[in-house]
Amino acid sequence: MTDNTEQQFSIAEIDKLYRNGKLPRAGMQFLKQMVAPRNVWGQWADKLSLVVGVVLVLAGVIFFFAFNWKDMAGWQKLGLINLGLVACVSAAVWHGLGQVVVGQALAIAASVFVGVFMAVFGQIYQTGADAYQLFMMWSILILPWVILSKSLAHWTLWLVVLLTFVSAFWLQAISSGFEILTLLAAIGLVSFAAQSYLASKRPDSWLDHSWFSWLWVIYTFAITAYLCGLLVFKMRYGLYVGRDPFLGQYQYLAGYFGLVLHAIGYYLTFRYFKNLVSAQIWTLITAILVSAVFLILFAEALFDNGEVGFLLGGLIAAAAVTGVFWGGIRFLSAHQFDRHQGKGGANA
Amino acid sequence: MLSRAQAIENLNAYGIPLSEEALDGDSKGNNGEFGIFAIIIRVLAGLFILGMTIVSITGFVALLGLEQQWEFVAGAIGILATGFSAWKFRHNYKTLEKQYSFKGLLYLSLLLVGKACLLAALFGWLGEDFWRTDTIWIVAVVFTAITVASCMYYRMYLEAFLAVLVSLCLLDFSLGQLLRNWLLPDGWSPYVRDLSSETILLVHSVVLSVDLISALFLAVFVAALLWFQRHRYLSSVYLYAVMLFLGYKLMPGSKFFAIIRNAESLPTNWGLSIVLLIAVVSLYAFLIGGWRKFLSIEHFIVAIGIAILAALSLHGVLFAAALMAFGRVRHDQVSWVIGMLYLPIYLFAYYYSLDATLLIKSYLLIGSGVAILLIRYALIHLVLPSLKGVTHA
Repeated sequence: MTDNTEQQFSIAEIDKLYRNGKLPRAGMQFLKQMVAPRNVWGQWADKLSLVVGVVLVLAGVIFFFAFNWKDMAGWQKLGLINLGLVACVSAAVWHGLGQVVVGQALAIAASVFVGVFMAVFGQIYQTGADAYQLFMMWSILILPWVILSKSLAHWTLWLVVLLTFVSAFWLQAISSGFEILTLLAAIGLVSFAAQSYLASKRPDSWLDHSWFSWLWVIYTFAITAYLCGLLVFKMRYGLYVGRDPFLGQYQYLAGYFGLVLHAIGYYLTFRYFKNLVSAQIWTLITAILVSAVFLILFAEALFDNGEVGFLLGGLIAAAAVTGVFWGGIRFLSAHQFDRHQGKGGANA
Repeated sequence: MLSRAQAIENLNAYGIPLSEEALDGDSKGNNGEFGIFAIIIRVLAGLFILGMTIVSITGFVALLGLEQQWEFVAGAIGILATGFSAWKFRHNYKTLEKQYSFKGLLYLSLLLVGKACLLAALFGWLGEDFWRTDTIWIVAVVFTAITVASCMYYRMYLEAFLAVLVSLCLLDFSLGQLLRNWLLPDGWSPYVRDLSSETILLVHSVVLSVDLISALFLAVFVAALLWFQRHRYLSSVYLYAVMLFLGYKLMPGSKFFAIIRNAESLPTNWGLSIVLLIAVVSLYAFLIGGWRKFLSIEHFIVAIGIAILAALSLHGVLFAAALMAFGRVRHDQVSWVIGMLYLPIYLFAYYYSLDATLLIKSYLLIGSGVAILLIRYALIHLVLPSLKGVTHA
């Protein structure tokens, strides 16, 4: 049997002790500072400066064309953008794409230039086409680069363009109703599920980065929670039907679909997202959502009864919220250990 | 590598109790249980329950017909609720496991109710309008004293975080009120539409003074907390609260004021630039292991970069980058995330509030981006070849 006191701690072992609840957070940080080399942050600074530098340059280019295009001849505008586009693509190919951060950043820049080119082209040769067509073509044209670059940042850009296309298509060609949010939430959910599933199959690959999961978990949660809230408002007060050819008849359906997506998101978070914190967030924020629904549907009616209404309404609402959280925390306590044992790993 | 015995010895000496038995015991599986988001949700739940309880207290006061003496009822509830929950946290809810249990959540809510009632009672006793009161500094000082006493009497970090933030807000606001009373003419109101340029400059000087004094105080506070943490364990919640508030103070508020008022360009806050320059260079020295390291070329280049950012009044950007670096070195994800959230906000706010045409702004954006990339290239390829080959975004 090995003498435990001679056991050596590495960063991974310290992490494991922390995840197993044997070491408090402060202890984990203290030991990591003793074990890890002090200059590791230089690599982070390298990435940060690259990201900030590229973002500033791209933002500058976009603003330049967005605000000054009237003063430039058409060939100048398109020529300059194409120059930037070709330069970025050439440099990206020269650097290589797979797993090379500079190459990936250049590929992302090239994708942004495609969008800028299309926007400027559309302004010079106006055909009366709707804006959604621009975003549709943009998402189609850059898709091969996105696939080749093996970068989650590039996929994020593509998803943002795609979501903009879907939203613009709905608003410009179909309706102003909120039903489209179900599709937007579904896209976020699929992105999160696909990345989490593939990352679990290929740990430590380019797919295995928790920020991407976090981004789309939070996005999906926000949209589905909003849909659930709209459903409750619709039930309590009714909702204004604006420019909607369906006269709001699908609003209930969209609300219920949002609820289903919320539940699926909950399941997927437990199933694939390896960090238990996300499952906790979903549980506890759902508890807040349920509490808010309770307040809107029931407590508000109590508050209308003067002082007694305030006293009883406040007490009942506080008790209801407390009860919901009691259930949520009990649920987490019941599942936490099992989930933890089954799902440690790179996202933690 | 660090041996197990060394780890236990160092942790115990630092003030974090750990034993062989604890390391060999069963896994508690706290992965994420005390993660920052789970904590935030508990605070939200506590505030939610707090809101509902306040509503019922209002009804209770009205039922008793005590509307005219509401501050006494609020004060009595505040003292009782705060005293009882503080006693529970001191004696029965010391550990994080207990504090984050369901009952812990209830006592947290009670504590929040108590503190909120105390604060309301303080305002009620002074009997003045919140926004126009000249005696808000009394509320700020008394509430801060309660916060300090609370932090020393019991350990409830979630509530301590909120209490420190509220105390800092009150102190900052009361400082602004005091300076406003001293520097601005009687009868001045921010709601007057057409202010004279002299008044705008005066208001600007008040805002700059508050920003400078607050930033100086907060930077010293952060340094003191860090110094203490180097020698002895102290929870980072106080540090997070102070850093969050410092981040808020570094927003270019006076520039926005100038834009809203269509004012001429206002003087730069050089005092704030100097404070931030000293603070960030000191932090950088702390991160790289001492002042003598500045003798090497790469650290000297970084120091020059920091000075340029400070000179350009990029206070927030400097602060956010420093926070992220600090978080990396200390393996402290919270600091890192606070920095990451603040960085794009500051960048946007800085360029938005620049007194320049959009064309100039686009040139500035491109120029600053290229400058950052060039500095990065110079550092990696000319100065630090050891950093070559960093991959994986």
